[in-house]
Amino acid sequence: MKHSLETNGIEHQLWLSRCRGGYRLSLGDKVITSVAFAHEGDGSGVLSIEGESLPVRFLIDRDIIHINIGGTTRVIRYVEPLRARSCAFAQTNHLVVRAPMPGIVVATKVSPGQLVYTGTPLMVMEGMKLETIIRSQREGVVERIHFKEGENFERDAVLVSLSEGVS
Amino acid sequence: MQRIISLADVKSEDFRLNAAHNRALVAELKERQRAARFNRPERDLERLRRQNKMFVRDRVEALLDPETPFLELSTLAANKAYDGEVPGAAQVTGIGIVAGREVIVHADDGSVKGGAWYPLSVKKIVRALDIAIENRLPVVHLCDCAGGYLPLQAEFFADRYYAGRIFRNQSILSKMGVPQVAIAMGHCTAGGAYVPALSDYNIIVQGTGAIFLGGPPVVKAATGEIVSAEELGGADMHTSVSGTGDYFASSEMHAIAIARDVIARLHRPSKTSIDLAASEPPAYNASELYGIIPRDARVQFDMREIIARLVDGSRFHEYQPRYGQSLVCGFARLHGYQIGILANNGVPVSDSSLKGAHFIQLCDKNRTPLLFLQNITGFMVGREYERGGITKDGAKLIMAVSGASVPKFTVVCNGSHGAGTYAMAGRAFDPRFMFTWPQSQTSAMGAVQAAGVLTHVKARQLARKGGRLSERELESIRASILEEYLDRSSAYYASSEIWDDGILDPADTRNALAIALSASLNAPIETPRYGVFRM
Repeated sequence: MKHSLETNGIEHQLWLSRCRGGYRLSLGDKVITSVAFAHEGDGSGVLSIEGESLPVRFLIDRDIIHINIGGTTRVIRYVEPLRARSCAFAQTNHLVVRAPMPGIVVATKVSPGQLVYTGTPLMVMEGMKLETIIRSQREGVVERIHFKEGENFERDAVLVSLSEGVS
Repeated sequence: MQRIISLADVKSEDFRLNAAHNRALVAELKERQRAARFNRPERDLERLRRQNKMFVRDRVEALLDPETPFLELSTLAANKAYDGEVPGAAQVTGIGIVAGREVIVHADDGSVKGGAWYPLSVKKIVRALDIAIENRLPVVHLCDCAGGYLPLQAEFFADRYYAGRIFRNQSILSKMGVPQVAIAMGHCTAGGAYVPALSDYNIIVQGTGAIFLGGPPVVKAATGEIVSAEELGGADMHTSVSGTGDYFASSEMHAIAIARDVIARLHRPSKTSIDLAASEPPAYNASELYGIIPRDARVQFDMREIIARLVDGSRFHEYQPRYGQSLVCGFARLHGYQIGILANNGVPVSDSSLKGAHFIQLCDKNRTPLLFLQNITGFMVGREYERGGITKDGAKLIMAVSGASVPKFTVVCNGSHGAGTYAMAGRAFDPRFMFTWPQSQTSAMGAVQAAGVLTHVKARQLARKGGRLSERELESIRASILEEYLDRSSAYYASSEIWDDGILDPADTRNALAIALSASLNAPIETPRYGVFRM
């Protein structure tokens, strides 16, 4: 499985394999036979592509690399295969948020019509001697909150319904 | 180490005719391999697309590290069985690199009979897992098997090396600490359900993957319960309710990405270290092998010419060059690894057997893997040889071959007949890998002699009932026996029955052996220990 990098909204499949004096780069259907990089520390180095040497400066911020070559800065994002390949995951997330255990509502954090994102706290519940924050598993708009503060519910009860966000 | 000086005349008529003959054989081999890999009825490919499944070759390619070698094994398994309708025995197996780690890949081919296991499919899977055990290679199973092909169940179900052996081998691998990762990409039903269940890690693909002992139709027939496959054993249920599955994947590519992530974090035991130097290509081009292997299998040729085109720098340190000359023994390097080579150069007699047995023990003592290059007619027969103890000397060689604890590799270059097949580390003697060249013949007795004996027996049987055969009838019986005998001794038959791990283009042999050697060093080499040599 090749690595996937995105720049300017376009995804590129590539692979580096070691060869004499550096690396061989396969980029899509193209093969660049000699690529090398000499790191000079402190975010700079020299990139050689088929004999041509270019001084570069770069900054790596998690999966994003800002790279400056000859005065032009490009932003390249490493597309993490586990995350990218599970793109279909969103479809499996239901539009309802269910109770992981029986409990009681301590507080509601959102109101109907509100836009929520993956990880937005929806509700605080108490059950099994624990206070638990119920978070949204996807993006959407809160449609209905099924229990008021202080009300009891069983395991798997629907706590919050969402609708598809306006796109 | 001295370079072998080739005496082959590459400009001669003979060389040119051999080359044309062998190149044609290799072209035929490549075409048969291509067909076994890719030729599928359109309706089967259409069904895969409809089910949203990838073709097995694409799955394997996505799993492997790009631009790394994949040594596919037994590509032509079952090529002479089941009317040729089960290419590759509906399985893909091989050694490849995943996340920088050498692994065995075992993939069911859903484009052949829905991935059903035929008797030879089972044999191929068991062999792949035996390789994993012997060489301590992690295994990746890409499961897409509809279950065993029931009409032939008597030939793959109950016996020692039948389907049960797959699950036994999986359990033994786990016990040895050799990890397995399985992806359920299709329905893993009945026995097939245990492949992911017995793997240390498994992944189920949502929608297409499922694991259950009995599928929905079986459940309905047995209990009347109506249940969908997804509900009965799908990814969601197994990864959140039963715990049969470890990872939920939303697509095949997602599952492969998870498998690569799992393998990347497996413990990496250090390899057994053997004598290793910088690699060097042979001084003679491997393509010259085509001109050296005679077009008539009965013509003798010097095995040193073959060795010169396999080993580093064509350098060969020959051991006892003046003694037992029908067996060439010596040290060489292959992609830097030191190996000991035993190659037939004529009919083995007592002195060549003694030399071979001694050389094997030398290699075993200094941790040098052994390469056997077979071109053997069987041991010499006759009064003089029996009085000289040829049987007990052959027994010494067999004892040494069986007892050696260094990895052994065998290539059938031309003939492999009689006890010679055994004494030169044939399949029964557990070489780590065994390969065959396209023209080679493997049989208990040479074809012409055997056809003569069998024709004679047939004539005698008829004579007892008062029948008599004319010369012409005898000749036609002999011809038909010879034809069948030749077919059943061919490399294609051997590979069909999985007596080897695949047929090789002679020019690819060096690289295939290097991959096999490297893989074999994942297992430790035991201390040498032998049985009783009859002196």
